[in-house]
Amino acid sequence: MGLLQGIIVGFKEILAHKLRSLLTMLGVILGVAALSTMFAFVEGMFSGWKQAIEEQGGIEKLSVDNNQIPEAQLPFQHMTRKRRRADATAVMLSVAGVSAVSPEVMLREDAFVEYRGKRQWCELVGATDGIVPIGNHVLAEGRFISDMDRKTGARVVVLGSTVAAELFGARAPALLRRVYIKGVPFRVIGVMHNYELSGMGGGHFMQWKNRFTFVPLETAIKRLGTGEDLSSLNFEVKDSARLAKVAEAIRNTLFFLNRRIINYSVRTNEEMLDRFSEISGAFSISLGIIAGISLLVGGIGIMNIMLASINERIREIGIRKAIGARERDIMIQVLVEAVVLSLVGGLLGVCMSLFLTQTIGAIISATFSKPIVRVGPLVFSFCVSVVIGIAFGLYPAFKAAKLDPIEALRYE
Amino acid sequence: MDTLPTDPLVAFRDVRKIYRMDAVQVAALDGVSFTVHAGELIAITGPSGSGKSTLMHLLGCLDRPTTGALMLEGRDISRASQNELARLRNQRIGFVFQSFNLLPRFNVLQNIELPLTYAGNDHHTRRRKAMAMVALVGLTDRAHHLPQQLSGGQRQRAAIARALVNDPAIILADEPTGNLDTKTGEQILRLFEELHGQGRTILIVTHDHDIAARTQRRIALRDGLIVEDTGTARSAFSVHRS
Ligand SMILES: Nc1ncnc2c1ncn2[C@@H]1O[C@H](COP(=O)(O)OP(=O)(O)OP(=O)(O)O)[C@@H](O)[C@H]1O
Ligand SMILES: [Mg+2]
Repeated sequence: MGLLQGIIVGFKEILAHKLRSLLTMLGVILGVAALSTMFAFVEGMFSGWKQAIEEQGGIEKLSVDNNQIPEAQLPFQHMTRKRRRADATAVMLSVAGVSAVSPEVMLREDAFVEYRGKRQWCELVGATDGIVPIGNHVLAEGRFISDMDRKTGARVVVLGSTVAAELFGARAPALLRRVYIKGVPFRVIGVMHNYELSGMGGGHFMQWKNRFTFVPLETAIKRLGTGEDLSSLNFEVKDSARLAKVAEAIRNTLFFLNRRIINYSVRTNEEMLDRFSEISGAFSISLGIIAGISLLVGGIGIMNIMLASINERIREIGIRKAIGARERDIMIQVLVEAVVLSLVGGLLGVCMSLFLTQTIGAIISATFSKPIVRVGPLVFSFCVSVVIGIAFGLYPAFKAAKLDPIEALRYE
Repeated sequence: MDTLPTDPLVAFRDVRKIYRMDAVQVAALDGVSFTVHAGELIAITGPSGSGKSTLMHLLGCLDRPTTGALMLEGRDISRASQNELARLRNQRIGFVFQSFNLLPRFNVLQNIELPLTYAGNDHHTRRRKAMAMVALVGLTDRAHHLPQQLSGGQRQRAAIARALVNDPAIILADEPTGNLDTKTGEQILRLFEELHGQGRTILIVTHDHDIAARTQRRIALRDGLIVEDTGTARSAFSVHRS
């Protein structure tokens, strides 16, 4: 008995009972559709997060954030201080493997850039040139803040693309214009890249990033009154294999410098990525369980139909055995039918999932991560349906194969 | 005499088939011994329940005896595995049933091809051999008809063609004319006689005494025992050759 013939017989059976077959396949269709749609959504979500992290400096970034001090250290709260420039210098001197540093202060209030009566809000950062690689910033024109600018406390500014466009118009040159921040005159020396237009990603994050405006760190402290406390302190570690070790070394340095009071946390983007992985894993598991239940129901449906179908054909099986079909031949015949059922169900499920991801992807807004369809998961879901067919076809197949030929022939 | 009997094709040696149903034991065959030589045409007779079908099933490798030895071409098939029995049914046995037992959704040609399929023949060989058989039983113009489109006699011809297609050592027909009218039954019987004339070995179970009278050898069963065997293998053999 050829496999091809078995497959043809299987298809004939399906076509002979269209509605029955469709109802049987429904579980498999829904299961496979759920499974592959879920894959697409988790994939989309995860890659959205990954991109956001990438835009913030990727996994090479190590950030030191201000933190609540632990309860046990509360009595020493008055002795604490935030990170300062000196901490950045100390880390650079004592910790090996740090390739760049970016101490930053932020102007929290009145962060506006003014030009001839126009005002634009911005994320004003007092920065060093270290922020460019660490924050994944790209300069579009002019130059960025130099060490000389910092030493002299120069009143120079690098504008975010949206800020520059709003102030001067999209086409007008921005360089060397005089703008005011908190009434202090600044010379525009550079304009940042327009991230949104370049298609580097969508959503709120990019709109926000386009408003990042930079002045020299020392200028911000002296002229704009941001204070000496750093709002954040970031490091870049090129060799990501050493990331954990470097983080530990930084923790130790700060522990020592800060008189063992822990009002900071040292965090890597890798940890964040891990947390995202965990979340998407949890998503996958719960959705996978739903898909699994649906597939189980589908499998039981297939088993049920196969049992009914062999019951209808007991005599046929007897005849086949009488003329020389081995148990194996009968088994293969029934299995092939079950697999064809689940295979067609699986194919329909994959089609349904493609349709679902397309339509849902078109409907949801740009701020959400769009589902991403990959071939691997589709093939996987499809294979699952085949496995279901074999698994739930096995028992009916075995039952059919073990039929006693004489009794089967006598069956009316 | 140049016709010393060769080794028998079939030998039953004290074969018993006992069906156990709860406490009751039914001895469908209760110690049967006989031999069949190649080329014989034998009628098996006996009242209902005497064990005729049981005997055919055992010889047809559909079942195994409870005790005793059943030799087919020198091999004891009472010890054969399920797979070996399936192969014997496919290659060495041609079974013809009272109710034809054709697959209803397969046409005549496909039905006849089925044993070839299980024997592992390729498509072309199957077509060729099946067509030859269709011609042999005179159904060439019905080759692509479904069983339900055929008369009883035509169905039985198709069934006989299917039984012959793998060139079996022996043909077993269990009341092949039981579902046919007298005239059609007669035609089927002629076909068997024709096949016998070509040297085939055939066992026919029948209630019909006229039919039984026409075969050279008759084995009568009663209550699972042979009560009459007209002629030993040797005499039947010589009758055939004379
Ligand atoms: N599967 C079975 N279980 C129990 N008893 C059985 C079974 N098959 C046959 N028998 C018994 O074995 C005996 C012989 O049956 P068998 O079918 O061989 O008779 P038969 O000679 O072919 O009869 P008929 O002419 O009516 O076909 C009967 O008494 C029958 O009841
Ligand atoms: Mg009978």
